Amino acid sequence: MYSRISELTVGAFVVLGAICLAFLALEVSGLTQTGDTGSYGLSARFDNVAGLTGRAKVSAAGVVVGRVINIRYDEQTASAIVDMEISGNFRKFSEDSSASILTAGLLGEKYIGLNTGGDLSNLSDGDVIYNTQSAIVLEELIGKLLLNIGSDK
Amino acid sequence: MKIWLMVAYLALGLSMVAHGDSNPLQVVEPLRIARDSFYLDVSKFHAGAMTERELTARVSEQMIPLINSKKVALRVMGRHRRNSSDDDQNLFVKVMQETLIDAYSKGLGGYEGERLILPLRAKFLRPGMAFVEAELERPGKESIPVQFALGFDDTRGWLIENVTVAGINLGLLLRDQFNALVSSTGSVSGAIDSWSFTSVGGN
Repeated sequence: MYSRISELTVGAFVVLGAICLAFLALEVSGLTQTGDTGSYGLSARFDNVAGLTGRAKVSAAGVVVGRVINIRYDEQTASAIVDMEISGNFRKFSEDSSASILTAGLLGEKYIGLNTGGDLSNLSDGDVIYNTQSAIVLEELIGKLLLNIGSDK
Repeated sequence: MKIWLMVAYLALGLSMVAHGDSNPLQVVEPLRIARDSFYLDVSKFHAGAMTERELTARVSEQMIPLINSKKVALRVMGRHRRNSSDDDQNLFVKVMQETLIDAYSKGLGGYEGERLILPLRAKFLRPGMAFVEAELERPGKESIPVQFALGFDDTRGWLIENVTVAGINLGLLLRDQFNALVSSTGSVSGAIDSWSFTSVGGN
């Protein structure tokens, strides 16, 4: 009898652990649904989106306001266009807002930081943000540093 | 007769605006003229035909009309623009122009024969908005990519609204500096008062 109870307890802990792991995986990968029905789409043009992935977070002042839904290459301007889904609760991003690719945490997870401007009219569904700061590529940075050190000698 | 002349003048003016708005060659042209004029002035300066003060004045004269100072300044103010008075905004536009002139004069002091390589044509992002991907060649050093973002103004034509140097968006960098100044001084007018070229890391 005692053995059966302890087996059940261990089993319950294993199931609970599996549920926690699944929840963690969904949260980290950004696959959880927000349940927000009034969301709208914005896009941003970047010269370089190195490391940014689909479902990456979009935040403003540290608050998650949306997700990246698609990253595509624009052949005409040779740049990347990032399509984002922004929660309908956050609609006051001015037309001169900027978007930057930033890095969070120890794992170097990339996300988009929106910074609102001062324009009196706000961005609406389908608008594109052109005022952007692309991802900093570490290899390029190290290369420039080495070349500068070399040329200063 | 005078009316006909006026109509012809207006028609010519409108066609020039429409042409300038959509011609990728025309976007680059003002930059090319300013750059070539700069090289000419610098060579006069080196030949002793122009003083440093005259050179700075000439460069400011050539470059400032190419920049949409008002748009640049208001963008730098960012979200603080909404809580600022018209007087503050007008003052900051003036301060920003002075900052740009100051930046040019400091840049001239450190000029070491760099050459700005401009492409033949600009790339359009949407009607009235284009960018020019240039390169700054530095003697004995690695070239730096420079990207000019331009917007079309109905009366002044194509004007520079932002510059990205080696991947760093200078407009956003200045906006961050303005934010920091508002935080440290506690007000928009305080930030404008303490804004200078050295405060934005240009020294």
